[in-house]
Amino acid sequence: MPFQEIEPFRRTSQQEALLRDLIAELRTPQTVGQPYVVVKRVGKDKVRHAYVYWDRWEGCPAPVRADIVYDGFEEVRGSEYTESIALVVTATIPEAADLGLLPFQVRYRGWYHPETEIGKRCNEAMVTLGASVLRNPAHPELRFESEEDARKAVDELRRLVPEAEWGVTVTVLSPREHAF
Amino acid sequence: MPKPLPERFAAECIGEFRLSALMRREEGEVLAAAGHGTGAIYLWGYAVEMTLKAAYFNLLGLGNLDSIRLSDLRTALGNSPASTASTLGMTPSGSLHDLAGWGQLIILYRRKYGPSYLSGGFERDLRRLSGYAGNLWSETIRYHKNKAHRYEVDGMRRVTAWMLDRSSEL
Repeated sequence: MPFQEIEPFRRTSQQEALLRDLIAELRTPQTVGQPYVVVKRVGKDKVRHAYVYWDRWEGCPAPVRADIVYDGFEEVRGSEYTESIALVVTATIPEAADLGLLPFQVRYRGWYHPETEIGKRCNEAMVTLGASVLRNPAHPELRFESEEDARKAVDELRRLVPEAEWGVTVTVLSPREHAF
Repeated sequence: MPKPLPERFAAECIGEFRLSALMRREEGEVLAAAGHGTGAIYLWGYAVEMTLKAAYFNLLGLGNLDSIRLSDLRTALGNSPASTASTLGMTPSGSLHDLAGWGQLIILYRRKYGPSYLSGGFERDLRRLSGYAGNLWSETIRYHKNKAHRYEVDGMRRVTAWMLDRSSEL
């Protein structure tokens, strides 16, 4: 029989970079861009759910993602806060959209013509604000958990590209999809 | 005009799941007593499903009346690298009616984040019984004319009773 000794789990350098950058974001949250971090207080006292939407999760195994988030919160917010987190959800923007987690999407009129001059400028502005190009680089996805966040992004996009018409669309999952 | 039944539904939440599970269990008993074993199993499967879902969201700290959305169910057991099932190392089936999957999700969640069960026997029973129910029940039963065997009706009745009687411990 071959002899095999398994080393303890160690994060790759890329995974360590994710942790470092998440810690930086938690310490000094940016107003736009990714990661998009949402922490929700839920029903019972002192319980939190943490959602970290970040395209850089792509290629990172699911169990490692969650541990990175717990370690990030531990570093920045301490043990008591981290122990109050009962759920960590880590998703790229397309993964989150597919789960129905980021229902509010910001779009511009004529988004299906990204090759036009105004389309290019709109897409650049959206990427600056954190839009995902994972699914299709020609059609950046700028999505939010709340309508309020989406409206704030629209205000900023109107400042960056005032000649475009900006709006918010909502994706609603039908309960019947579950009940087939 | 009175509102139709679906418009009278309350928001989906732990409290609603638990009460509906009790009702489906009772309705299943009526069907079983009348000789409609397949119908009984069909309803009991939902009673088990709602009990397991309620237990999982209770572990996550949701209150009895906190709304549970379809995206929450998908985030729990969806076939996605971002689902909690994937995070805990499961390979989710993708079906949100997967009884064995919900049982396994609860077990793995408790193992990783606690609180752990007081006895290992309880965890084994939960895995065994949710697996049994998952093998016997499918939401597609309604599409088929098959009659359940007596031992299947008895087995599903016992699983349902076990789950509902211990719903607060799951």
